[in-house]
Amino acid sequence: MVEEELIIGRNLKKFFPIKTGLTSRSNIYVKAVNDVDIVIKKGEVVGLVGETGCGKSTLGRLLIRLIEPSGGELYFSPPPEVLNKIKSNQKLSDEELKNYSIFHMHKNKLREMRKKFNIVFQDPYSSLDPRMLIKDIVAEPLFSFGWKKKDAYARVQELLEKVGLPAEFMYRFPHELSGGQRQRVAIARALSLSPEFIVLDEPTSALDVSVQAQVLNLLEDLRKEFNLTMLFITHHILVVRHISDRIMVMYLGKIVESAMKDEIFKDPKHPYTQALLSSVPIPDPRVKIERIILEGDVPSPINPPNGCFFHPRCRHAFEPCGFTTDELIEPLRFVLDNKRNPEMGNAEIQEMNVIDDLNMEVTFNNPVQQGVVESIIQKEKEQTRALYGIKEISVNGNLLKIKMHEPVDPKLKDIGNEHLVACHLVNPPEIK
Amino acid sequence: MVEKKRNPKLESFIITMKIFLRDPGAVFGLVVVMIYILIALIDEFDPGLIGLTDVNSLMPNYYNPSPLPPSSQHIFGTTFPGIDLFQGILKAIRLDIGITFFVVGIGAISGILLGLVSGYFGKWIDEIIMRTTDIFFSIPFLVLAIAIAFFMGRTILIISFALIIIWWPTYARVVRGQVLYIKELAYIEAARASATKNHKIIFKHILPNTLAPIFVQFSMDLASVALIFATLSFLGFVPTLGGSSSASSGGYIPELGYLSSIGYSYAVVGDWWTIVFPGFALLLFALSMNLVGDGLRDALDPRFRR
Amino acid sequence: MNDETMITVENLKVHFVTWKGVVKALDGVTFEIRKNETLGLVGETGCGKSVTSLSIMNLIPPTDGTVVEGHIYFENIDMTNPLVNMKKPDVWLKYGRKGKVKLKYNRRRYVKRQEFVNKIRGKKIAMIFQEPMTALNPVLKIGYQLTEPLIYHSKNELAMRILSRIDINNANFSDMVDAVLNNKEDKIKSYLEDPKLKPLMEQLRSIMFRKDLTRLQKSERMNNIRNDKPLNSLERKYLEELVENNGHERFFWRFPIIHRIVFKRIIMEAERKAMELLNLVNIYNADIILKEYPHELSGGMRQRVMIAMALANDPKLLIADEPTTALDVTTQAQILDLMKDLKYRIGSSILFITHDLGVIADIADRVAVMYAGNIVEIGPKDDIFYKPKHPYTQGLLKSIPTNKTMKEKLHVIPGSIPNLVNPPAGCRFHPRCPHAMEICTREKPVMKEIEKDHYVACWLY
Repeated sequence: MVEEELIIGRNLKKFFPIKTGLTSRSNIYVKAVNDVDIVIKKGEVVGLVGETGCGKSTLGRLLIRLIEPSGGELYFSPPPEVLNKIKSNQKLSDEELKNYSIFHMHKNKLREMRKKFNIVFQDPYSSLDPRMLIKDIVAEPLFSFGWKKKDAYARVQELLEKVGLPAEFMYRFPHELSGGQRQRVAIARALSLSPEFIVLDEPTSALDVSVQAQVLNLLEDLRKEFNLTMLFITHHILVVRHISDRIMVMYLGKIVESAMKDEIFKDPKHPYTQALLSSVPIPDPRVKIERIILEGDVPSPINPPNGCFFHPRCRHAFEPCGFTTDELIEPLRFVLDNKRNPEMGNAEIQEMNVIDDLNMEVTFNNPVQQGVVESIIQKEKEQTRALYGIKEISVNGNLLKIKMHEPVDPKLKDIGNEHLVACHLVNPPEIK
Repeated sequence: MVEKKRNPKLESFIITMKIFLRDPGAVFGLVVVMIYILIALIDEFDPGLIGLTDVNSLMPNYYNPSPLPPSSQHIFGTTFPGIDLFQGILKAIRLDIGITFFVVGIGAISGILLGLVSGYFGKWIDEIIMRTTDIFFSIPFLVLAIAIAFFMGRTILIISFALIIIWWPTYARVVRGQVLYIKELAYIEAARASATKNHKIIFKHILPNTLAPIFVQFSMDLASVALIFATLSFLGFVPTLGGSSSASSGGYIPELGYLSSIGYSYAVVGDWWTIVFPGFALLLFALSMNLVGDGLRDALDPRFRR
Repeated sequence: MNDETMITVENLKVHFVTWKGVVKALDGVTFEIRKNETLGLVGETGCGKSVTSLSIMNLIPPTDGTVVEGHIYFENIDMTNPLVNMKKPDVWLKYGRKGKVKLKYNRRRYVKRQEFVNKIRGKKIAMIFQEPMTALNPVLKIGYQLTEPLIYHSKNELAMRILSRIDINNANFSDMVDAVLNNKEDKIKSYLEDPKLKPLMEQLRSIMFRKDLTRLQKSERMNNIRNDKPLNSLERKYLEELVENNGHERFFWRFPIIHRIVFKRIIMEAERKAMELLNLVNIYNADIILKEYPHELSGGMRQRVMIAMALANDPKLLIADEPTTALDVTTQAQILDLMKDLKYRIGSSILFITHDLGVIADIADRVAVMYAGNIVEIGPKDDIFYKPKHPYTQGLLKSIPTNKTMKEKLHVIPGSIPNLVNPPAGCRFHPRCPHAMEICTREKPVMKEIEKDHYVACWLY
């Protein structure tokens, strides 16, 4: 395999504005893809996994510019000198940007580029126009690049053969085909211009297990035959494990971990990856994995948490992960309850006053002692992770003042062996 | 190339027809509408075939103006001033069907185009077109038609244009709603990923998939335009044919609504046929058009094809 | 039918009438669900898994299809023909000339049957659906949707709960608390058998099952459970009458002002029960959730609320139709974890329908594999996964990607699912079967026990 970068994305962003009124422009955004760096090498199959709403489909569509980006740069097999500049983070000239960045290209050049990449969608029922014949569906990309009818249909026949469908299917409507057959048609359409790169957006999720096996085998064959580079987006981890070389895990619009397949399954570093991999149901009753059950739900991408996005659900979150005072209110009320911890005596919380993200005040009805509160926090830390976020406390009679640690955003860092992780556990920052 | 053994487009059309023909109401409506259209065509091209002479005039008979009951000579009787109702209705069908198709046709085409553009491109184009439709929706259509007729003359052409102006927004709305839904479907995205140009996406993918509800709307509207014309005539805004032909019509133009409005004052004193026959002809047309519309809706609904 | 079985399905045949012809959706399905077990029903799209559950629930629309043959026995009642005195069926197929088939139904008889089945459905058999958003009413608050059926269907149980809490003496109560806190199984069981104490015991247990409280907090809450406002004589009379008359109110109690006075208790109790139900499905901020609308909850949360609703009347059988398919893996893990707990907490049987063999491996005790309207293999989980006998089961298991199949070709079952309008004769799997023999094309294989509890319908054995 040639180690050559085919796709390089830098700081990719896609924010969807939320409309609040008729004409008003809101500044509330769904941060679907939030500052993602991505590199895909030639001939590689990259699996992109994550849960619903983590932005994996949006990232896939961004990579072929099916949707307009909100920021960042995307390069599709740039020449070596440009590549070097990108790698060393040099600024590119406007000329170079116009020529090589997919996001800055002129409309006509982008149209030409579309020959080189394509996409297969999840739902084979809605991805084929119900009023068109299969031959016209498959030939659509050919026609838009000015192929003659005769040549195009000959090519369609050839493609249908490649994906294992009989030639008489050319004269059928999509509703006469089964789900698996439709997905084959969609693959044939994506392949019609012999692209170099294909985004597969959950291509097997709507299919049955036995049909899924057929489609996966087909993709494997086609990939070998055409030396395709693929981005395989799915939430089905067993499928990704079967087909891809490298796996990226996404959470709330960010890539949290990226590594070669064997590495990530053997030694997942990010707590989210660990939880995700452990909760995959394995069709083997004797394999007993200790499930890591994540508490709570995925936070809203409109207003993601401070610091590391995963920290509210993380079992290992600690000081720099970005706890805020809002997250501390419930735990404090829970922990500083004199029924749970009798050492609190007859002191009960009267009022909680959040000053800002990092400072808060708690008023008790009776005086409390600093030592007692400190020891309780120390004791409960392991179970109630939010208490880790407390930097210092000071007690003044009835008043307890709390100061939190400053949040630090985790960055994707290479820990060797092409294994990239964005977690403070792996790259602990300096705690001030 | 493989030999084309079957024609799938024809097959799907046959299925649609089969479902349509299962509904007796729709078949009845279709037959009636066909008869009306046939009469209109005969009127236009060879009126002598059914014994009509001047299709643009109701041919008043001032020698014997008072209404006569149905008899062997006048099957439906006569109305003031001595107009043979049977002939009058046959003539009126031509004009009514012509205007109806003209108004709804032009209205639908412009509405569909504007709706497509509005839904597909969105943003400010959408905003402008949709607010325009709001304006037209907020004006009562009869008032608008009467106002325009009042200022610009009462010829049939001008009233038709007035109706077209109020007719297109409905189509624009329906089509836009459909486009907004279809636009998000994966096959449109797939077409864009294959660098298909916008106009091709609109006319090859989106338009054919919006047509089903449009057909239904179209057939229902055909009925209501005829009714609006009748209403206008009834209110006294009798359209004239305009130009030189107005002289030959002698002020009495063959139009179903007008026929019934003449009959109204005689029917109240007991000459029932003067309003029943033209009214029934109008009702039958409206009813059949609606039945056809219902049948079409069922036939085009994919849920019935399981 | 012995004591151990909860429901028996015998030779069930269901036909649907469509535009293209008669779909033979189920073709002689036979299985049983035992007490306190989870039966996993696996199969691919269109194999009839959902139709099976719908026919158990009597939920097949009479305009689409009907059970044409077979029986479903639940507590000695044949659910396919529950009204024994009904001579004629309410929905039937009419065979006309030229092979045309029409579905006819008699509205009066159909309504009559549904009325009867309603007494069982939702109470003794409850169902959880795949898509919780469509099963919850979007314009009503969760609290209303949870309490409404409780108030209108089980007033007497609510009354019992209040009375059992208030009437118990101190010694007895502290003994119960002690039994629950220290998990004394026999004592709990004996208390659960006493109809007067059972409701209280259940309330105590629901506190015990909470995972967010320490032991100290639990015992405190248990002791606080009796801090009700004392009953006045009117209320007491009302509640006692409710219990006596099995939930039926005399006209006197429906008198507007009186109703208002006495009914407040029932509503409050229903809310209390709703919160307990939510606690049972591991929702601990129940008071907040009750005031929210379905769209304000996440998918996993909604599914929990659905499960809580299904549990409201202590069903004997819980049918879960792909309850985790619409959820993410991490949420799915939460729900599966919960369902495993629930089996222990409420002790009912579960019919778990899914297409995901991984989920089945996790949750089921026995597994039934369906193909094209037939159960082809049924047996204990380990047998099905390690000693699959039917060629279809074997193929299905091999076609799942696992860590063993990396980078090699997956096994593929050739061909595709047959059209059920004209299914293949004999064994419906024979056109795709690698071991097909001559007999397979002629005769339908019968279920045969080849190992203990392991049945296969295949001519190979």
